[in-house]
Amino acid sequence: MLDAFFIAATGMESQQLNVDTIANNLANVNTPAYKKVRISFGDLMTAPHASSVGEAADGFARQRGAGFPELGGAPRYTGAGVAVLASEKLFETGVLSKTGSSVDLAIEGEGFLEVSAPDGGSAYVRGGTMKIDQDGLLTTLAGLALKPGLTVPPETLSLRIAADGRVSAVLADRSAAQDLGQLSVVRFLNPQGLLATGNNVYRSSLASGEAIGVRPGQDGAGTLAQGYLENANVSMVDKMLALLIAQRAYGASARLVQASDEMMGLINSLRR
Amino acid sequence: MNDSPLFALQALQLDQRVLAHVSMNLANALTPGYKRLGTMARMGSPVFAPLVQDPAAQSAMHAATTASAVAPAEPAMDTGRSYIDLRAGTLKTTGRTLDLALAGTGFFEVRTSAGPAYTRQGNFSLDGRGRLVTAQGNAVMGTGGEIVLDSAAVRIDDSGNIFASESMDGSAASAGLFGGTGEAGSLSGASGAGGIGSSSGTGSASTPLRPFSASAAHALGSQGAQSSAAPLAQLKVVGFSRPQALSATGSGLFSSTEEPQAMESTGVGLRQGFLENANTDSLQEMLAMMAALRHAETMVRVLQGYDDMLGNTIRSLGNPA
Repeated sequence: MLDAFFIAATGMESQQLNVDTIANNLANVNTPAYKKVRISFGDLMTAPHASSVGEAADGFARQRGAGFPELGGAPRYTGAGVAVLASEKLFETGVLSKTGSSVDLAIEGEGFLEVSAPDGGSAYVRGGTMKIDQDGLLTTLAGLALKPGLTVPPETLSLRIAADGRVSAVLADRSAAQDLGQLSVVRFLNPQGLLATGNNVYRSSLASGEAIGVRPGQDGAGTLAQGYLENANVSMVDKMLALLIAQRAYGASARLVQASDEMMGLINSLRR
Repeated sequence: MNDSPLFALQALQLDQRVLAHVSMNLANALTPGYKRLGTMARMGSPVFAPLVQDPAAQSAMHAATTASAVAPAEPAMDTGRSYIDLRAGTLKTTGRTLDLALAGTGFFEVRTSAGPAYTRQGNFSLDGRGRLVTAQGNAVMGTGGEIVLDSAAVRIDDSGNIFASESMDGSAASAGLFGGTGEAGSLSGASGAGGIGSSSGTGSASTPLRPFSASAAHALGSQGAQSSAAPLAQLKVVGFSRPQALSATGSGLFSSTEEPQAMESTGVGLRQGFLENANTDSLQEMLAMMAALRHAETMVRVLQGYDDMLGNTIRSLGNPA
């Protein structure tokens, strides 16, 4: 049937996905360290085929209009709609907001904290609220232990994490803080290639590159900020505007579906 | 039979093609770097005026139709040439360091498995090895081959030179406390008139565009820390003297039968942190759609009228009474 019909259908599907993505971003606007998703569209083209309108018309013209060299300027490829080329998370840093809680940790700048995944491998987080589990290990709220494993002594009053990653504990009976260890920040060549496994936890992949562990504050890595949480890097204003545009684009494609339907109806009514 | 159903059929097919192009343009209204498909010339349009005057063409046309009872008074064929409208679209700010837009009329060169291709869609990223790649993973070419970077925190100037961007504390481009996103708003870049027939030489004079948000500015390193080191690489931006030779192969890529020429640095007009919008004008597309539909309806009436005429002729002539 009509090419226009199916092209408009791809338009509607793509804008539907666009709206879904925007909705997901908006829903997570208050999730600490959430990274927004962006989809990239690309046009679809197909090589000319027998049913392509352009080809048929030109073939006909060449048959009838042998003296017209100007005719037959159709492009080699015909449009077939729009497709989603990529759906990627954008790792621009969000605004840090001060919470004052000593168990909140954020990374000021680029990089991730390495944690132990349940299957024994490494996973990466952008900081967040921490807790001390029953073994005294410093873990995320979900229970993933920070690497290297840091054991907090039971008589600790509070933790102190310096910007360069040194973790020390203030003990009840001693005046000097006890040094617990050093946290390092992990960088990737292409953070967008990380696999998001939910809950702001990421795994590395071939597309992201190798994890490069550095001291906080060196080689482009960010520093640690205790008492801060990173906001989602979603701007509500931007997303609402994008939503309006996506809705209008969806409506335009829907209108084209209706128009194509009308044209198909006209063609069907040729012979009454 | 007569020629009139053939003309009507021709016109109907053209209307279908117009509708297909309108559909394509509107479906891609939010695709960065998309160039709309247009159709030009309809029956009796000025494009065919010289052909009508040309005696050789006239006689050829008449020779082809001498068998029919009625010679057409107008030129018989108008396929409505389809073309790719290469005019630049407006620019949209995103604030991302590897989102690039060309305010001039050039193209980025990209290496695909089928050879070199060209694109205006500048939403690039680094792959796992640090190569600059498109959204699909094809390598973006620099003047010296593939571009490999060790960080996305780079500053790219108007001519495509890539510099490492180092801020005071050594942290990467997007600073933490002022981090944010600047996505909204679109700025009109200098529009280079591409399209059929116009020569796309060196680009047009473009006004320097500055992004809105503080984070975007910081990310682009356009204020404060300036690197005085030599560029890490330079993006290869090329131009074509005959834009008609370009054909769109999908996913934002174009291929060309002719060799591209390197663009002069003044004509490149590269903007970091921006993406080029599709050059689709929704109003224009909607009007074209309405005109095509009504024209199709008219042609259907012509065909139905001709069909009725045949039916009457057969009935009255074939009736023995």
